[in-house]
Amino acid sequence: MAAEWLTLAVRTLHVLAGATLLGGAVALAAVAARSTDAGGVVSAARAYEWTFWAAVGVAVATGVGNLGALGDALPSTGTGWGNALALKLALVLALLVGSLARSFLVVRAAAPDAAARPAGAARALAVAYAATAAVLATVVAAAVGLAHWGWS
Amino acid sequence: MTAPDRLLVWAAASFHAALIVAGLVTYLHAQDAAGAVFGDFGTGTGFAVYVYLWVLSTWSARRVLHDATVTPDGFLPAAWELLGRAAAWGAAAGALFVAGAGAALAIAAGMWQALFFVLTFPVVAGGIAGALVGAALGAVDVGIFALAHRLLPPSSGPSTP
Repeated sequence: MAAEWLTLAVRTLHVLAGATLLGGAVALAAVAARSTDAGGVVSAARAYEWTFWAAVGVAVATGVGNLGALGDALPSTGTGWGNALALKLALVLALLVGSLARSFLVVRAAAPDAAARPAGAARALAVAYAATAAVLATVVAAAVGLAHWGWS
Repeated sequence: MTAPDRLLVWAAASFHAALIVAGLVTYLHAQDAAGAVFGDFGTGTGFAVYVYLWVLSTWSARRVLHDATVTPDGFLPAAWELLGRAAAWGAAAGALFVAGAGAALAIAAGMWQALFFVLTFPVVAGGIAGALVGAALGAVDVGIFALAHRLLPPSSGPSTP
């Protein structure tokens, strides 16, 4: 019984982390695209980046926990489920690499040296967060498929 | 020692920990071994190992990036200096990871003789592996920073963010 509650807690944390990542990216993409206050966009982006990387840590740790709960029952790469998991993992790796580049853009946009700040940073951040949201939405779609569809 | 941009350190450290674990999971899944390997880990043990890896990543990233500065030309320190630091502090983090995780597992299992073994050859091996992983992650960081700089070059004059 305790193991079932632990599994439920791990899955809940995984979903909450995913919701935080996707919801924040969508909100920032919308705000950055519409706002005329570039300084406000950069401040909001910096705050989100702290949350983003914390949520990434939670999502990865709980994701491994979910796989561990399946143990030897984890489907192999030769199955539809296994291929969907491989696709999700590849998207996660791409998301991580792209997100470090996005975080670096945010740090540059907030650079104290005015000459180091890129022009049009707010527009670039809007594109970066839209791309992040698109990849995250695909990851979530794959996760929903893994959880609820009986691929074999 | 100047204070580094804390967000830069947090992002790089979290990226390293997540990339190491996600990369390992991807590799093990490709070998159809992920379920067997992670199924043997208890949930609490797995979380503790991840948090320990995250803490060590933050500790080493803070030292590698201690004087990191965004400039109009890109990023300081220079790439080769950053790679050297990443290898050195990666070696320290790798040795500490093996020592800490190995010692905790040996103590939890009541295997005190194994504790002596863990703190010798495996720590050296962990240091060597950590140097290689640190250098590789440093190269990835440098490449990503260069890509971001190329995609969005700085303005030629004063600008608004």
